Amino acid sequence: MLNNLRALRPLTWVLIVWLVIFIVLPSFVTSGSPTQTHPDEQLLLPSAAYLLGTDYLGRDIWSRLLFGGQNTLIQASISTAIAVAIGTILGLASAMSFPVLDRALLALINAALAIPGLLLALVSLTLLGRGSIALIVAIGITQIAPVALIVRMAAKQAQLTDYVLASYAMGASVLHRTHAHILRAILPLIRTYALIVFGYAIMNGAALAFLGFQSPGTPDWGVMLADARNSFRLAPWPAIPPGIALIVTMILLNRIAIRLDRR
Amino acid sequence: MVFTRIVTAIATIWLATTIAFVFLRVLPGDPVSAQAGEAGVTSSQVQRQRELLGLDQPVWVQYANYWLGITNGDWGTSLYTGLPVTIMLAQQALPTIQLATTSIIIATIFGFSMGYVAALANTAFLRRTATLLIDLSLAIPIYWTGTLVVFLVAYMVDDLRSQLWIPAMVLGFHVSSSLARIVYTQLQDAVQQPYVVVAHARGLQPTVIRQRYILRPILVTILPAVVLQFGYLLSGTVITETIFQRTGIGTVLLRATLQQDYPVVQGVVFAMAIIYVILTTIANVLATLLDPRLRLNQQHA
Amino acid sequence: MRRQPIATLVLSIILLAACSAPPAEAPAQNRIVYGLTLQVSGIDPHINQSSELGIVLRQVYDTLVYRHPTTREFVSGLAQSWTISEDGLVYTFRLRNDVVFHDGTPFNAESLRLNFDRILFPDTLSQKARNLLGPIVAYRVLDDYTFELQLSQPYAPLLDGLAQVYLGIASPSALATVNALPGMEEYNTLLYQYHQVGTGPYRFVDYIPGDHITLERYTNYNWGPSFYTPPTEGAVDIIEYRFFEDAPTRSIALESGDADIMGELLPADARSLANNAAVQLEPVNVPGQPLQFYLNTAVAPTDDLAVRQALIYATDREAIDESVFQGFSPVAWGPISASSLYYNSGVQGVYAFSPAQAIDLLTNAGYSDTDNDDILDRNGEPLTVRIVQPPWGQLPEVTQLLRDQWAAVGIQTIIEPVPGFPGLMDKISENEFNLVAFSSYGLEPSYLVDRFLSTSELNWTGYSDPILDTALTNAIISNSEDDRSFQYGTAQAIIMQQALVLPIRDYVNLNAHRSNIRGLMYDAYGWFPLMVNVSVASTEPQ
Repeated sequence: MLNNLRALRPLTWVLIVWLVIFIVLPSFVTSGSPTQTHPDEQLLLPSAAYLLGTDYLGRDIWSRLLFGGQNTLIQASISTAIAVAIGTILGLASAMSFPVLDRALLALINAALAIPGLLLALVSLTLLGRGSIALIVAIGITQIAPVALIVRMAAKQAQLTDYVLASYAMGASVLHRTHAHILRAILPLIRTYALIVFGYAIMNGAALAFLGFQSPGTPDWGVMLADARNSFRLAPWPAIPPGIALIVTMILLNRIAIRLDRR
Repeated sequence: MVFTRIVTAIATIWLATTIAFVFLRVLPGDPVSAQAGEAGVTSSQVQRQRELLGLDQPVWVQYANYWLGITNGDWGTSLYTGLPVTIMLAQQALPTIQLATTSIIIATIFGFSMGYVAALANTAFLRRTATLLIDLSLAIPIYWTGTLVVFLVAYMVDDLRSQLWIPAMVLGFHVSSSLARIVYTQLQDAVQQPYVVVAHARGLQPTVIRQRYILRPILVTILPAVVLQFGYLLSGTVITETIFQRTGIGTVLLRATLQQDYPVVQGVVFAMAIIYVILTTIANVLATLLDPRLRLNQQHA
Repeated sequence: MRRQPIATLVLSIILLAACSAPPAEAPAQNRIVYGLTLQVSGIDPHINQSSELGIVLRQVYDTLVYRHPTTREFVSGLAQSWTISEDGLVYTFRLRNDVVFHDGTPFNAESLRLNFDRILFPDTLSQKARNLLGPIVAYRVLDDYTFELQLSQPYAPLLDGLAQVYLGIASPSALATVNALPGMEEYNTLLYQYHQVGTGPYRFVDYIPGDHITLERYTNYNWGPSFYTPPTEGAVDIIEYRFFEDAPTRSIALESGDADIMGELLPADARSLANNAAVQLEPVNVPGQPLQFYLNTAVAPTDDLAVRQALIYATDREAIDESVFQGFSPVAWGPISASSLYYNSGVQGVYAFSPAQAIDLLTNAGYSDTDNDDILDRNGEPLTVRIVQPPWGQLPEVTQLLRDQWAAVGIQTIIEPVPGFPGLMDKISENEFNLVAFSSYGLEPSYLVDRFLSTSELNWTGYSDPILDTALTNAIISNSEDDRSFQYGTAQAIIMQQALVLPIRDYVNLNAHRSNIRGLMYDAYGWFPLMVNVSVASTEPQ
């Protein structure tokens, strides 16, 4: 693990610093409120009072960018954790169990994949209402089946490797086999895929916010971008900071995923 | 072998449709009260409409009726438009297929060229540029590119709505990222493969090596991926449709879910499950046909 | 051999793309695109109730009577003249005898009867048309061109209803020929909306849900009301209505020429279009309820009159109007907009923005900030209000401003966004909200009866007051204009005195059109354009 980190040093550090800026720093760096409206200070250009200017409701874009990053990234992390945890358990369960159970689980995974992700997300949003928790669940749910499928495939392949076959021969218990060899064998894959899911979670969260499923006014990069469209003709600048932040995050994630993938 | 495939396929379709059915019934509220509320709709009217639509029956009766209908080619009737679901989907399928097909072609071309240039271009500048493009195609939110393109292009073309290629370019660029990634990784791997090194050592023409030893193996991975991406595009790209004011399956699904128009949602899921099963089968068959190792594996399994 | 599957796949993809190319359309003279904004759930005027459907179908149907767009007087339509009995219970209409439906069916009293049959048939489940007819008990054909309506009690808004597109007269043969849905009666069908036939200046061509509605000019039309003045040249031959749900793209479509007329522009876009010579802004005041919130008197803390009044005092409407609506719409003071009939101007200036007044009211009601969290409390309960907020009409922006304005006087606000109508109705039935945003439109404020009569299902305020009930009931049945004006005025005064609504701004539809479009005007109800008067000037450079 440490070896891996060392090898990835530059990019990983950039990502870590990036995440820290947005997740830890907001409350220290800015005294402004990300939600407070100032109708008489609408669409101001950047100034000393408002580092990045104000949006249509006169909110401070700088505070919104920082707190928005916090929301966006924490939200995406939790959805990723949900998707990866449940997906891995399902995938492993399927790969390690009897053929009949495996078939059944595989059929379930496939059925979930056959349902348009948008529908899964919308149904969970209808059930849970609006806001961050609903979004986290909605985004997490749509990624469970893909994770499960990939984990299952990788686990199946790992089962065929020589040392696992050897442990079969030595009569190791199923649980022990799962834990000791297969999990270790597929861990790199899960790690890479988690990064990809994290990226999807950010993008899907922004997309659902665009479609109006985040509470209005929430500091969130997706919401900021969607809000900015409403005054884009009068003032395009509120759209720039969240756009750049989103793009940089995605590129960082993508680059690291590629590096990890190649190892 | 074929038999197992067919059984699995049917099971997948049935399960997907059933999951959707159950999901929709646990939603709070119902489509009728969703329509009410404006002056003049009384609760007795709501009750009457519920009866007319069969929504007052127990869920399992509705479920049985649904499958009974399906076996007769009746996918139900939209609670809102009054049109048979089959006709509604047929109306919306064409624009979706047009957009998905054009986008996937563009995505394949984009993806392949970007991946190829990023991995094998002669100059570092070209490689860097291509890598950056791949990064951007993944990183820029599609509604962002979409909005910018609408702003920029709307004034240049005659009727934005009739221009299929504009949304297709935006969507194709967006979808191309995953294909480009596959091509890029595969190419990087391929050039380091022993047989490629050996081929170089044997003095084969670089173009021959590229065609025979590098590009062909890539098709094994890229074609199934293209097929699966196509399926994703068919299930609706609601944001592209929204921004470019197009109709299509995605928009229909979004609206039908929000309005709780059960028959339409179920129809979309049913159709999508069938398409998904067909496309995954095609992808599997392609992978098997193209990759001798997999073919061997399957014979043993 | 090995290459074959790939080749086949590629081939089939290309074929698919080739055969799906858009079909060529025959060029037509003066074809224009009218941008609609809301995806409607149905466009049968007898069944559905959206304003959107009327924008289209006002051109397809004639009504018995019309309201003049400027004087708002009733003028003759399909009925040449009419008489109302002394007791206000019997309406007799003398019909035109020269009218022919688009399908060739002649119009007469019998066609009227069949339309009323359909609208009043219970399983038609009419959402609005039925309601516009009030306490109707009978109707009959007196002779070929004389028709009679009978009411069980006087109903003054009847003519106003008959002037609306929801009571447009459809061809009986078209109503009869559409297929009935299984299990439903002959007259109740959702399919008529795809084959509508009226007598109006435009003929219904086709409707693809979510995509477009097409109308074509009906050249034989010469029985329109007095204010239908077709242009001598440049009349619009074909109107294609298209849906532009995504608000930011509306102004672009208009500027780039993809649409010729567009409604409901974003205020910021309307502002920036003001200096584009190719586009002309056409804001229209829509009579009806302003953008407003109902205050729930059945749930704490808004069960307390002082809290309701404080909420209104603490609201800076000017600021909301200037910022969110870019100053395009008048500030609203009462439960009906200033452009409505029977508007009581006495409500103006009452509850003018005054945080001090709000704090006074709350202090007297026993609220204070005992725990120093900047939120007032009483008996240990913080002063918190819940707003149900649907996504339309800039409400997300408005509620955020309200939240901050109210926070300044120590009221905490929880915004509960709902995605649309189903969610809104769920929140209503839970009855845990303090405020909910909703507005009805109409020239005659009879919607106040549905919304504030203590026995009405749609009385979301939960307020019950015999004096208000009497005023509302009398406003409906009285046959004296002065009396009705007095009763509606009283109702408005009580509603504001009891602080049952929080009005924000009068609704202004920010329409705009390409500058080669001439003669665009809207009817008395504000929503509905009179396309028959529109012409296209050929001068616009291509």
